[in-house]
Amino acid sequence: MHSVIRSINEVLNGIFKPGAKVHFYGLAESVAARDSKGEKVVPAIVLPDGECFDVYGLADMKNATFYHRLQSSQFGSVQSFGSTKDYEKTSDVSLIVFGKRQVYDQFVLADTVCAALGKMKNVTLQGVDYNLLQVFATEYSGLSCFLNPDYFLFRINYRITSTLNRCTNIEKL
Amino acid sequence: MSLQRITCDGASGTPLVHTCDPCERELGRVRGACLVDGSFDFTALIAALKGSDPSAAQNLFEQAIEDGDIHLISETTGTYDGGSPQTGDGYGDEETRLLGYLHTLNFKDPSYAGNKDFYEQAEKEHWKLIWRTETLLHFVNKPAGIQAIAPVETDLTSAVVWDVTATWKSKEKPEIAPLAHLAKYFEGCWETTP
Repeated sequence: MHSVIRSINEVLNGIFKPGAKVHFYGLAESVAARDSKGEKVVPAIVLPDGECFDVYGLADMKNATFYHRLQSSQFGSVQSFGSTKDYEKTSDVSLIVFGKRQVYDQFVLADTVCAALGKMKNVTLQGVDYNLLQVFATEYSGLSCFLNPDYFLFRINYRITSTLNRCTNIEKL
Repeated sequence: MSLQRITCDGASGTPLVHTCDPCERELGRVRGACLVDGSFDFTALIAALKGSDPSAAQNLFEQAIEDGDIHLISETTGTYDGGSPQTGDGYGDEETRLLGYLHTLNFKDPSYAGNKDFYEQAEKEHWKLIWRTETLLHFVNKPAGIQAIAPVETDLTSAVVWDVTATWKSKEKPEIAPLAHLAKYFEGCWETTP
């Protein structure tokens, strides 16, 4: 999962010109935060030591920010041999894209990103959600949309497919 | 002097005993298979499998592999149709008469790249067969013809495998013996070392 997402970020980084001021994060999680204004849920990268940082923390300084959200994983049977049962794991992931309209046209950006994702092994495009209110509501649960019109926000839904079989290494935890 | 009915196949006088097992059920899938040289005699191997000494069966099996009499395809997925009846004209009050069965065993072998020569050669000969289900081995003592194809599909995630079909004609049903003594050979890959 993480290796595929790293590969996606590398591929997407390659579609931008050098110095394009874009930032790519890995898998973000919903983190509950409390400040003087009350409680909120924000998308954040959670480090192994529990430290979190808001993926929008540097957004004002960047022309576009990308991060991924794992929605769910499912398992389906695939052709197996001998007495084993092999499975195919499909993970539904969203790539959230936040950027400045003055720099990028969101539809051109989405098409370009989709074209790059579509060429990747084990990645299947599912769709693009341009509904800003809907995307905002899922990313900032419980908050009303306060996004400045200078910015766009959309998500590209894609699916990662991998096979679990006898050759899958099971490492000790 | 008395009149006695004559029946086919010497079945007359043989007591029929049906065995009822309320607990065990054998689970399907042709999980492994062997192509066996037509001259190989299963008698000793089947006796050893039904015996209590695993090493006797293992020695016979390994020796047969080393001698080139048995070619093991350890992990497969497939089906056996059980034999489709071949019937001929009936006589007297019979509508038809059973002549025998056309048996078809189909299995897929995932070891694709290295086995082109193997299956090309196998198609030129006739083979006795062994295959396994969950806990049993099945032995076919009649020569079977082999056809192996490797179709390629458009799906990017599909696997290219050998799709093998073996057919033979026989009135007899495959002999059955427990797998247990040879179970280890039907897991993973094996090769003969010099």
